[in-house]
Amino acid sequence: MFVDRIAGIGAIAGGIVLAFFSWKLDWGNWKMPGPGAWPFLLAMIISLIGGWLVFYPQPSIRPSYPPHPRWGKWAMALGTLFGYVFILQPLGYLVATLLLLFVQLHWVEDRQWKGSLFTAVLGAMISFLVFGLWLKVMLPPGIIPIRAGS
Amino acid sequence: MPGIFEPLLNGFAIAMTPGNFLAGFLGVLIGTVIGILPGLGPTASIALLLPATIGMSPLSGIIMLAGIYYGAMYGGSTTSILVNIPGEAASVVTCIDGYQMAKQGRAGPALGISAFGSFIGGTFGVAAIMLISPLLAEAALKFGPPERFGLFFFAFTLIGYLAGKSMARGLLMGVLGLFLGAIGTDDIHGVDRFTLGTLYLRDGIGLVPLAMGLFGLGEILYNIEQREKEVSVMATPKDLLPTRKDWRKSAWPIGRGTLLGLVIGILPGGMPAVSSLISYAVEKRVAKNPEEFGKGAIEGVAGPETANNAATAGGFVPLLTLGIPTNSVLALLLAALMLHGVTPGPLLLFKYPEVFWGVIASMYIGNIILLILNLPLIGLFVQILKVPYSLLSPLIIMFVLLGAYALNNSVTDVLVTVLFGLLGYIIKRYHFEPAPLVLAFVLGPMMETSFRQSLIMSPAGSIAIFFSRPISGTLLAIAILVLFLPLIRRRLKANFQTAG
Repeated sequence: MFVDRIAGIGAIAGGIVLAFFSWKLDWGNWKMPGPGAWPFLLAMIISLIGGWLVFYPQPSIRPSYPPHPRWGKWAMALGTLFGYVFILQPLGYLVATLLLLFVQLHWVEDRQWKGSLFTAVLGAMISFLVFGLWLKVMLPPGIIPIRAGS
Repeated sequence: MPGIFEPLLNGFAIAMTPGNFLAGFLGVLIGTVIGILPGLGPTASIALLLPATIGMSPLSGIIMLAGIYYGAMYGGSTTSILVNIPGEAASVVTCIDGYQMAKQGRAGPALGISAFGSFIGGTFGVAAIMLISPLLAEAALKFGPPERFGLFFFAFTLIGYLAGKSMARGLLMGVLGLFLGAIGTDDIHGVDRFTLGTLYLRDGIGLVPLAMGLFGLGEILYNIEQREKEVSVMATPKDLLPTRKDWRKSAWPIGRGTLLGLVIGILPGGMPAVSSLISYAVEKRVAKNPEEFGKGAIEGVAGPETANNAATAGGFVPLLTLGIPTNSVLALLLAALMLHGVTPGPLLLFKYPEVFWGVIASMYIGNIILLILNLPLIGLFVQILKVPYSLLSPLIIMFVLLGAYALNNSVTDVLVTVLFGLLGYIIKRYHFEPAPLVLAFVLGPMMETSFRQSLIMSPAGSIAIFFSRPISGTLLAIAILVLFLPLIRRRLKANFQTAG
């Protein structure tokens, strides 16, 4: 019930904001709907469904809370994903992927550091060979001057 | 019938060419492995491999992607039976009796009947596509924009209704998907909509980053938070062939599962997972000894496994003839077809008969390959299951991010994938359904176009055009009835309670 109500309030508020910006895009008229007409209708429906969730929440659906949630690991995994986006271009595919794999294997998945390093190097190298050199995907070279995809 | 056999034979000739046969073989093999491995379902896998098919011919690409889909349905049962963890959603119910059979030393017959049931359901499903599609395509040719809008609206409502436990949640996800589909440059007026001033969003959000994020990264983030320990896998089972008694018990469930799966598969929102759940409920209800269910009843494996494969095939009918995907995997197949310049819909059968009949023939061949692969290779699949998830999940993450980048050589695509990964985690964590979002995201632009075209062609810009035409009027009336079903049910329940 709590989740439904929170989601409902979010949907009402989000729907109103989206409806406002859609209206500004130009509604047009019923004969010739403008670019904002369809998003405006959708935004209104989002708000309506939000109201439905707030006033008629489903009592039977409860989020499943794990007995021992691994919040630290989860946050680290998510942080690594965002970090990867920002280091991919400057460091290049090989180094960024090696770091991503090592952090995921060693710190998120608690695997031994030697095995993690070996798997990370192997994973980054093989994927680089297959995608960069064989399938010619233009992977960012970064600090290692091996140009893939050419 | 002569109108079917000749093109079907041509289809077989096309599907048996080395390139197409190899594509089909690789597709079903990859699909089976994906079905076996928990954590990477068919939606994320097809999203991942979609860019790789760009270099292929359209037919080979579609044959491979379709093979992954129905291959995953076959493979999903293996983990359910041997580890008690479903490889993908459609095999959830197989865990109940399949795992119990395995604990009693009958993993072999459980896997065997599941493979045979899948083969029968899949093969009859393909036969149904072949028989129904031409008739449906003929009828759909008469559809104008209002009828198309009515059909999309009907599909959308049914998807919301069937998607999960709460219709409001399903519809919210669906409308969110429609809205996300509206982001980008408006086709008619050329105006940017919700692009936040970025060049990237002018082309709209990509389906592949969205699907890989929601289904791939979302699932992995969820598993990282929830995981307690690695699972133990049973030894490779021997004697895979079901006994005569097993066959006697399974014959009717397989028959009923085929019919049920087909009907549900054709309906929008009728995902294979829904068909297997309903099949299990039906089998339990009609069983002579329902108390055996949950304790290792073979009927509880045969029915659902047949139904999910029949539903998988059934879903191709609306996809190929109306251009309407009934679940998220088919939404990606629709995107793949369009990426290859093939527009699914009533004209597909007439404009690209080689694609239609080639895919049909490849599905017959694929089902036979799967039956041959599944039983002898079970030992290999058990070994794959022994690869620890803690090793697999970082590698899956790497492939998802690499796939996202490879699409357009764009880091922004990677960022979008990660953002949708976070959304996918939240959706899964709080029991919302990602499938309506993806389906609506794909249907959205087509739905908007038919909505606006209908209003332009109406005499005074009136929405009465949707209700004044018989087909669109009927479809909209049914959709509105579906929308009010929860309210009607609540009222009826209250009335019954008042009446004592």
